Amino acid sequence: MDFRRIELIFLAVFIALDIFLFTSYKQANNVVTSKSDVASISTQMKSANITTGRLSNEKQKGYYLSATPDNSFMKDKDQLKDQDVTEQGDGMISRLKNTIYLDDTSDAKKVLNKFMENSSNVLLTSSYKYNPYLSNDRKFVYSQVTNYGELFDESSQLVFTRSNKSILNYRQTLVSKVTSLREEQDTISEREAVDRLYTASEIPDNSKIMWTKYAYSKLLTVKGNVIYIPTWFVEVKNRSTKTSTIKTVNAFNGTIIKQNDQ
Amino acid sequence: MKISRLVVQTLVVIAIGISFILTFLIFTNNARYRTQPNTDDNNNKLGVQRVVKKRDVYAPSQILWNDDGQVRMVYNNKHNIVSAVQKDMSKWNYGQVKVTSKNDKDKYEKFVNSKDSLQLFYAFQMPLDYYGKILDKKSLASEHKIKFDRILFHVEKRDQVIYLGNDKTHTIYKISVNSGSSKRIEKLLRKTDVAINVKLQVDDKRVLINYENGVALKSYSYLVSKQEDNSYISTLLGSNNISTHKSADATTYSPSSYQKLVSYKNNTLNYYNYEKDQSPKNSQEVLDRGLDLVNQINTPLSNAKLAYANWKTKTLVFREYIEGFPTFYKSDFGAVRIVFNKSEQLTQFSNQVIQVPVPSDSTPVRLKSTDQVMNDLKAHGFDTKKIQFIDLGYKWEDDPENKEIVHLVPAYFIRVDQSWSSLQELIGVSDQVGGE
Repeated sequence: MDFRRIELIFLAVFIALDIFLFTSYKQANNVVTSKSDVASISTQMKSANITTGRLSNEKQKGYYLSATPDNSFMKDKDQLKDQDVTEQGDGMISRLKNTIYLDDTSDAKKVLNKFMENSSNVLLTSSYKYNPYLSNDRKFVYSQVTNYGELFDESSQLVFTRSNKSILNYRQTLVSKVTSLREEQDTISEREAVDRLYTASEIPDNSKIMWTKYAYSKLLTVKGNVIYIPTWFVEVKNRSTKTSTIKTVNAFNGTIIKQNDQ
Repeated sequence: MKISRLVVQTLVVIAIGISFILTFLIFTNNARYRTQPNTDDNNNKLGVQRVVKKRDVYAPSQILWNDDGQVRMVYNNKHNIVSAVQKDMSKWNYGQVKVTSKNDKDKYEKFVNSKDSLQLFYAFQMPLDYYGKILDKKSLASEHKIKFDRILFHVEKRDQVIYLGNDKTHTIYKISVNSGSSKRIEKLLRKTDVAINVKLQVDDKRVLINYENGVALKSYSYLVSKQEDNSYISTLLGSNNISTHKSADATTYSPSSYQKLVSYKNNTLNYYNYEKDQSPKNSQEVLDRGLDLVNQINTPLSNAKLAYANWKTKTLVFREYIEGFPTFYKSDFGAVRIVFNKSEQLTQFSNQVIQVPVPSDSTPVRLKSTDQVMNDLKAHGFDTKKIQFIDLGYKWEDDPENKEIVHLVPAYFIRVDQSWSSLQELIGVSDQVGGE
């Protein structure tokens, strides 16, 4: 028996074992840091050809708001001229007898603002502000404005519908008794909102963030009251399919609000 | 030849010795039983984690303002004044700490009732070194022996000094402030929309708040939801080989002999960690580890603060606060209770989440004065010497018609034998004006 050879084999085996055991011991003590995760999201988005523009890291402050759907403004509907008004849900729909011709939609805000200047055309116009973020070629949205900010929700809007180059009708809803339910709280930043959309796979590769907007959206309705939360609205344009989608992120906790949750 | 054989034999012995040592280290290394990071890329990364920060959870619970001789508890429904005051104070520069009085009850009584004073007081004794850490002030962070219950400074008289008070020993500390302004704080105080007249009563080892005229407080309602066990399993135990055992009132999850999570049917959970040598060595470590655990549990908490700390038993109790008052009866122990024993770290917590407030139908609740409550206790034969503390809080009450809604109703709470009870529970008498 060649003891020398056996000794050399033993040495080689135990050296290999020691290397393996040392590596295992080191791995057991490794700590994963979170900073590298945050830095890599921006890098990953760049590699995926997602352009965001400059995003702010500044945190906002917001409230849980409560409001009551209010269609009492309908009692003044007789003030409205050349319109057929019908009640619908919490608001009303008004069909214009004299439609508004609108060929070039880039003029929409100017044309509609002029229309709204006349109090016999639309009621309570001072409660609303033109919302370019939610408007498109087929509908022009005015959102209700409160002391806390704009409400981006169907429960508190004035929406003009366009068809065949004319504004045919508008739908109006309003909420009142808008109050904060608790003290203001910190919200996530614009950057965090976009990062959360990315990590939730809501931003496809080869996309562009067209705009972001911080406003209030409806969370739910409880006992006849609408609860609103601060929300980040983000328009994502897919360069490959040329389609755009508006994504919404709960600004308190960063969860993605699915469209059918609203 | 003989020498080279000797070298080989020596190296073999050394290699065998090293493998034994490394094997021993691996098997006795607790790190492998700690929670492993979740490596699922889709679920991890930022997730939905809401980090609880030390400056919020270890913040004072209330502000008292004495501008004309009357002490008032002040609050603002829209803005967090405590947080704003702390933020301003973090910009000041602090000098040395000096003791101005000790064990003098009369002096302490005058101190807490100082005119033109703003007081921030804590529900627990705050270590000054940790407070210095929160404000990032080295001069305060180096003071390891001082604990205090309240901070007091003069608002209009800008004497460039703040005071700390220790309610147990009646010690008053004075700290010079080299720069800083209280102008913004003054403006905030003028904007408060809740002001309750109180009287501060200095006893042997405590300062009680006497609501001498009673108080009317709003009730609040919240949507209540439940966080599922899976989220706790992943954040506390990791995802490696969890064994599950069910009994009549609980389910136990255990990945190893070092950790265990027990989920009870009454919406509470107990997390046990038996890792060796992990008991915190001082109050700073207790607070840091407590905060880490609260964040690790990751149950969304609504304005949670530390409500009780026992430095001897290394026990922390966190409660959710409404308008500066703690909530009770969410569970038997509050929102989170942590005990650091030598051989076991126990974390108890509730899985009920109240994040979304809903409008409350009820009118404000009018509560009796503190003196009336004490008289009721005496009239019903209760030995008031047993009372460790008495204060206002919010009682958790389920909505009888809607399981998804909980009401938080103002009430008096009395601590006896380290346990809090409402007046109704102690003597069957209501603490509301006109109540039976």
